[in-house]
Amino acid sequence: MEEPVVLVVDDSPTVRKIVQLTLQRERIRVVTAGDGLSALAAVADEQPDLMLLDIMLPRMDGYNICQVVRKNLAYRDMPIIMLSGRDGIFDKMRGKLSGSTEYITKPFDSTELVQAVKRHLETPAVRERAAQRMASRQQRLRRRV
Amino acid sequence: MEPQGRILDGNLETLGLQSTLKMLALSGKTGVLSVTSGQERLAIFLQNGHIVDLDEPGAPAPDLIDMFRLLGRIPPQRAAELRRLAGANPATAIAIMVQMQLCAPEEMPRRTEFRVIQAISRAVRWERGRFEFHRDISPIQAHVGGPQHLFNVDHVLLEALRMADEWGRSGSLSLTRNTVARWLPQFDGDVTQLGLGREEIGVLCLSNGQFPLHAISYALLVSEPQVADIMRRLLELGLVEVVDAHLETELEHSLVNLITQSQHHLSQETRSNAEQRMLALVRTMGVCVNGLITHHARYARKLRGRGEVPQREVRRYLDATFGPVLAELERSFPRMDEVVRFSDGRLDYQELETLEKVVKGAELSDCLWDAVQLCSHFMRIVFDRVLNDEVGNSRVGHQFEDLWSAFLREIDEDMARLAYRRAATRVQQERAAQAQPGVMSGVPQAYGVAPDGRRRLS
Repeated sequence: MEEPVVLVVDDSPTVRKIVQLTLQRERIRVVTAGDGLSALAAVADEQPDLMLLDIMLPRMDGYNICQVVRKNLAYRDMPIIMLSGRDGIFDKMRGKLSGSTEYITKPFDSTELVQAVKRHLETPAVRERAAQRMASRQQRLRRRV
Repeated sequence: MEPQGRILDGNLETLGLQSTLKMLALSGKTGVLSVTSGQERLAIFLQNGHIVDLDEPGAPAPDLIDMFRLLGRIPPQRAAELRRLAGANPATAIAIMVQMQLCAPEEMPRRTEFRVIQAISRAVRWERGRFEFHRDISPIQAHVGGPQHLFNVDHVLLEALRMADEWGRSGSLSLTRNTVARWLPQFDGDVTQLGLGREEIGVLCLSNGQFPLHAISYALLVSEPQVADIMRRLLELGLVEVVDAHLETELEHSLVNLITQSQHHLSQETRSNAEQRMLALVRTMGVCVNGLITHHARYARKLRGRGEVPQREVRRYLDATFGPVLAELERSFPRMDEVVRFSDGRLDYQELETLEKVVKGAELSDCLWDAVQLCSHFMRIVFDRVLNDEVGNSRVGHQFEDLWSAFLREIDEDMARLAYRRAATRVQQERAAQAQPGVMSGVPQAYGVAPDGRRRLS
């Protein structure tokens, strides 16, 4: 079974490392981005199965990234979990309106994070994407061989 | 609904795996033999009565790339590239390594055969369970992507039974195929003087608290019972210890959450003046240090496995471990003597909260800057000691070092910004003092402090 891919977007290298360490232990491949524009580039390059998105980011904030990603048909169903230090109802509502699937408040508990990620990764659409990725990888490999 | 193409099924009690495989081999069958026993599952792919490959659904694939990197078979840069190309699939990794000329082409079938023998040696010991044989060959086509090698069933069975016997004879009954070992940080002898053989060194290299015994066996192509015997020897030599997986998970969870909270603490209150920011930084580091110490009180090697240890003893241990470190550091920051203390098993920095009532202006700023530096040094030392004692020089240890470095980088960036702000303020105040001839160059005046001792707003 191909590993699912999660994109972590946060300007803090510590948060990126924490999430990477936590999810890699669950056999989830993690790719990271430190700002809004790199996040959009990573979505196109890595085609992640899920995105963990901070709100306060340099160059483009989390709400805007969420809206841009949702406009692309290919990623309309990709789960987006917002990770934010803001825990007000307004922020959560704004996250929801911009298209996020779930909202987790920082500082998060690692078990809570893993549970949320797994819940959204265990869907037929994600499994299908992973199978497609594996098939294309094998095709690439065959071409190389 | 009945699965399509099923031509044979039954219980392992009535017809064992050995007999079933032999029967399928004799009749030259092609298809998939699925065997289940409790939680364990195995799918053996047959082609014209020969084994082509095998799949263990639900069993995590060994991280061959990382193990080869640790063994020095592939350089770290190539490891990253390989991981990107191969993902988590060890068979794909081997195929690419052959392509990159990192291993010989004959290693591919050797590894598949080894994996098949290992898995079947385990399955022949299953006494209860079910088997099913399906003619459907689509799983084989999907699984075996590259060139196929056919393995003789009789040969595989013979080797598997020999290996199963080895497990029975092995003196390492307490070790299982899932045992994880880790290097002991306390070992201070010379490993080269111990007369370890090549395989023993291999097992030692891979005992990093991450890879289970069966993964090490696959990486080294040494049977699982042999690896268990080597591990037992390394345990006797005091080179490794068996990892308590439950404790380790708990410990990692606690440390990850502690760093998450510290980072969150750090990211708050960024818009404030230099003194407030310094105080906030001290609080962040203080909370982090006390968190680390509370964590260590639970997981320190000396306090583990002793049931409930009296609090007085825990505090004594913590004071003896960390108290002298702080005292030593305070020699470089004499202003912090008695202001920041280590007592009752925790860092006490409460005096800093009321420092502004005692000192003002530049003196306050300098004191807080000393506190920031002292806490920064102390926090680093505490983390190093805690990590070294609890997980040692293992892979988990290295992962936490990585994570810790990221957190320290954020602290350092904050400190650098503060140092810059302090320097800029000082230059500004010196210039202002020079521009006002006749003003006495006393310390409070030069640093922009009003005669009543309160800072001027700049």
